Amino acid sequence: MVFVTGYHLTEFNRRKDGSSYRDWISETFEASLEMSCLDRKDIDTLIVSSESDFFTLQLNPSTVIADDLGLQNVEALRVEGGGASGQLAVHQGIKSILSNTSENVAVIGFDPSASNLPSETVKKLYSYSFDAWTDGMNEVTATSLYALSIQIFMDKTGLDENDLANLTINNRNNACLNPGAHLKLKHTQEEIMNSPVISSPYRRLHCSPLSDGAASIILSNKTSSKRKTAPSIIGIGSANDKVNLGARDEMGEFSSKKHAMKKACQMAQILPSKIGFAEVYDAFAGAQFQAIKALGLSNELLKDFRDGIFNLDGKLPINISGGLMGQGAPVGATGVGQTATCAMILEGNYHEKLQISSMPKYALADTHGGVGTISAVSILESNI
Amino acid sequence: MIINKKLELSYNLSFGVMSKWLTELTKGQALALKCSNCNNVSFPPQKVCSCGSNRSSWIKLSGVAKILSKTLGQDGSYAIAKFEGCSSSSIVKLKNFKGFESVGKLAPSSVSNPSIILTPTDR
Repeated sequence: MVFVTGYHLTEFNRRKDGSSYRDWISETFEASLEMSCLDRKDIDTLIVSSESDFFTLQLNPSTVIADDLGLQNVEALRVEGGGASGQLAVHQGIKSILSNTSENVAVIGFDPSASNLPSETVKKLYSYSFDAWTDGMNEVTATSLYALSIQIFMDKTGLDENDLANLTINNRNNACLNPGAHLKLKHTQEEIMNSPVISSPYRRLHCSPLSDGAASIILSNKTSSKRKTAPSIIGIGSANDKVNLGARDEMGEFSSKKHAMKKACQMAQILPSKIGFAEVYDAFAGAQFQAIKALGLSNELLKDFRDGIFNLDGKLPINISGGLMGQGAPVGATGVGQTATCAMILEGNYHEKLQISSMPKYALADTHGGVGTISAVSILESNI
Repeated sequence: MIINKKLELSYNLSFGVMSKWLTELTKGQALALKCSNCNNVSFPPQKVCSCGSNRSSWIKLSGVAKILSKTLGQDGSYAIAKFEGCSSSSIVKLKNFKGFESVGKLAPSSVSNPSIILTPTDR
């Protein structure tokens, strides 16, 4: 078994206080270590995740982070998979425990996506996270690729601009109740529909922000008497799709997510319908719909959404943290933060106004890199 | 303390077996890979076909492509387009499109930045 004995997220926002990503890492690690009731010397493996050395100007980051955290003679490595980096790092930690090579793993995700580089530079770098020899040369942005994909999804499903606006409103409303969220904004449909078109149908307010921040979890092969209610991770799965959208069989679907979920459910021995809470990768408003469908969380996507099933007080709350659109997106931290959020919900200690009243048994953290190019999901189980 | 540090990088990128494809691209010529096993034609070329075969040969396409969907806005104009004779589709940059055209032709691009750019054509 793998238990999440400690977890923590820093605030996600645009730092203006002169603090460094290494400060945020220390903050989040110390908090999750204290929660785990473990000692620093109990940690035998350190896995860090960040999307790009361009953001930090630090190659081989796991070694300097190990020093900062006072970890010596541990296995230290970095996992990278674009937007999925954090969740892939969580998976690596789980595999390390399940293979009996580690007992207590610290998984730390981070990125100074907002403050270290101008946003135009980040946008340009992101175009190299698709196929650098084709999409990169064309300088196509992530927004444009997501826009092309969601157009096909909208044509197929009947998803419309009102749905995109309402999802944006929902996620940002949730963010207003999350003290650590980046975009605590109350929108109207009109504001959203009048915001500038970045890549049709996506407007500025449909996009997640670039954020700074870090998140961490401590994974353990057993729990102490003080951490008996620590949730377990019972299923993980990851799968890829072709990088070039045009080469995919289904350009509007996140097929990689479907395969990742199938693997995770097989490992957990549960059906997607058992999931009671999910944090999914909403890099753009439409991506949340594409994710819910691919993950098999709804058989009547639009009806369920319009009926409020995925709202905070709905039957299957999704992205109550605010998601990437509201809580923010320090890329390497995202997947770790999603997993930490699921653990908080399952242990009943999430932010007071966002804690789900009817405690779910299972929660899902869903992360991807590219336009659903590499997907990684984790299923957590409550031990309350 | 916050300091501003500039880093200028100048890469010498090599493209190996893809060099031929990129060189032709700069001339506005569309080369594609045709699978020797199932005759699937890919552009941009896929080294291993979806049938699993890695045996293929270069073929020349007309360079004319039909636009399947497009996105416009501050981030530029891009489309998913299907080139004549090709089994897969491609992400293309649109240049000089007025908004109503549904067909384009591959345009030459800079030698320092080989790109898949479509300009309008009557056919």
